Amino acid sequence: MSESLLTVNGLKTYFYTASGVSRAVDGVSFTLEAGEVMGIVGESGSGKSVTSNSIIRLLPPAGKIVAGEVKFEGRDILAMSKKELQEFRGSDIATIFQDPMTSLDPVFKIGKQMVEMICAHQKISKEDAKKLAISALERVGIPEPAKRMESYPYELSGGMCQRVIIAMAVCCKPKFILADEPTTALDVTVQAQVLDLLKDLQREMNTSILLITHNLGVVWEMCDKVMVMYAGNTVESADTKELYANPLHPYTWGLLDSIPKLSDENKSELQTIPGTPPDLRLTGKCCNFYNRCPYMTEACCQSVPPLVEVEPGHFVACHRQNGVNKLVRNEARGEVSCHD
Amino acid sequence: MTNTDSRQPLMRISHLTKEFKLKSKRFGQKPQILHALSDVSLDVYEGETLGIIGESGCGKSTLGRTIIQLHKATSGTVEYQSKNIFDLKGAELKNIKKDIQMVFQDPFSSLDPRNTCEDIIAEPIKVHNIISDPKKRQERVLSLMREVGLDVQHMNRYPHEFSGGQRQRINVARALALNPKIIVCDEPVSALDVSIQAQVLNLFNRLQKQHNLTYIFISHDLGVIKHISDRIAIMYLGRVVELCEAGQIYANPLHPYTRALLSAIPPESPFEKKERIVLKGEIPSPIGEQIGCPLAGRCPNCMERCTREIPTLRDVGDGHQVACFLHHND
Repeated sequence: MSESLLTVNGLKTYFYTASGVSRAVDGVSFTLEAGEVMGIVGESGSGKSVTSNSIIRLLPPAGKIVAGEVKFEGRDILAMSKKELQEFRGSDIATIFQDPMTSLDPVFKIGKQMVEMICAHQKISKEDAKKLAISALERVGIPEPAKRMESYPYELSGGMCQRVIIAMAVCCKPKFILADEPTTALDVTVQAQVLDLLKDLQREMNTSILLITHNLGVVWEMCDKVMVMYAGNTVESADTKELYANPLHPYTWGLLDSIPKLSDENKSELQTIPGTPPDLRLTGKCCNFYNRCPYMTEACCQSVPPLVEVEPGHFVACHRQNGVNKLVRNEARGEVSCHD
Repeated sequence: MTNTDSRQPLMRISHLTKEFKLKSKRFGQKPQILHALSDVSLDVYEGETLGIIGESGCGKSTLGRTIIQLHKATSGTVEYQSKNIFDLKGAELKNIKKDIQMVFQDPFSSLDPRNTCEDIIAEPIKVHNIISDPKKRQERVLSLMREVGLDVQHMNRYPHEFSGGQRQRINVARALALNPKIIVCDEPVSALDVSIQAQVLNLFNRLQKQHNLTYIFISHDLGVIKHISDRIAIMYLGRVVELCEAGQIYANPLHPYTRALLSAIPPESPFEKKERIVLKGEIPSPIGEQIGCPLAGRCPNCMERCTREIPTLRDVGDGHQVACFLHHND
């Protein structure tokens, strides 16, 4: 295989806290090709955001990358010096964070923030930077972009702020956009607008996007590939359509079943995953999902299941999907009593 | 819908309006008015779940809070047991408040961090002086905890020791403590992860069957609302724009806003291709005088009349009510 745009291999990020070592990311591997959109889904605390922050090395002091490699076009990000990193962030990789209102500085005008960002990465005059910023704002569908340059972030709505951040992200024509829950703070109609915009930009510039979300609907709409995370591990990773049509990990089944669907009958019982996610300080010795899994066997409590490619491009980390006797979805439905 | 027409509503909300006065920026200037709720009329029937959906700022939470009198209504009435609850005072009001309880959105800030789980659930029982014997009161608390699926051994724990889903269960147990008739649920599952959300939604459904509860269920998630509701009211800018049975809203949406809202939901599978109805721009400001249909500036079917008159909610057959001139034949 030729060189991928982004390769993450066996990434482990631990947080050293007073009450012990928290294994926030404990073995995550994936590759992303140029022009591809990949989604990472998982519940809160599954390590999605820590994975993305590890890629751009934006971790708080307590967080340390203890193992693994992150390569961007063959360059090792984990070995970069501070100066190299600074150049690399913003120009090659752009980031869109979850909360649009807090990722802009409230005391500076939008125009000033954009010009500052552009001048930091490109050797152009302030005047040109301003023109570039205005055209970027226009591109993301902000009415009267020249006037908006003089606005403060509080004068704009959440959806508008997110557009400004997307405009900033695309100014330097990055090869890769990291979008960490870009639409979670937005209403559905605004979310639809922002997703459409991201899709258009992605097609136009052939950028890769790593989209982190907890909303599977967003994944179905946007992504080519998807990775499911649970308690710091990759549990399953596949082509989006393949994952929907043929999910293999019991956690993925639980996740797909617990979403209320519009096609469901009213007030029908939702399938749930009993219990709660494990304490991340105690994981890493066995399958993290074993205590909530209806298909659990002896082997699950003894070792961590490896991520195995069961079909071309379809990876799954489950002891019971590697062997000869493969699991069948809903097999355990009858035996498991459903909590509510 | 024929049966609902003959049924007597348990609660009748009529022409409820809530305005907030905003401080004027300049001295001597008239204060501006924010129209949070304008002329909302809804009937709530016994044993049903009335879902209320809308985007942020549409007044859905204000509606819930006004019903339980956390906000004082500017005008309009809420009738319960054929009495306007806004007119009641003293013992009579306290009596009625027992029947109408609320579950709040944020499971983290709606529980007192200094009280144990037992104190929190017992508080309404103490306030209303229902069980004065401490032993019996504790028994009642324990049975409530069991009912909502909490471990009774955790009775002496503080809220911070529980997870989000468990805290929401404490909230539900507290609301149930007084055997209410109506529970107003203000986004009770939006702060929870999907797997936990499914557990809590199942709990709501089970409790409703067991206690014949009536829910006014507020949410911004169309999937959740569809799942739990019998009837759905769609709100936009402080007004109810469409009201009908849950199945109807997806099968036959009438109001342009409803259609746009439905088309904006992300698809349910990667194979589904949706045609999107895009509304231009954003929700207009609720501050100042409101002229014309609230959707007029963004509506793809806007007519001249829409910019002048405010359409009222009207029955267009089978109990399907819509506030849009496109569907009014006059």
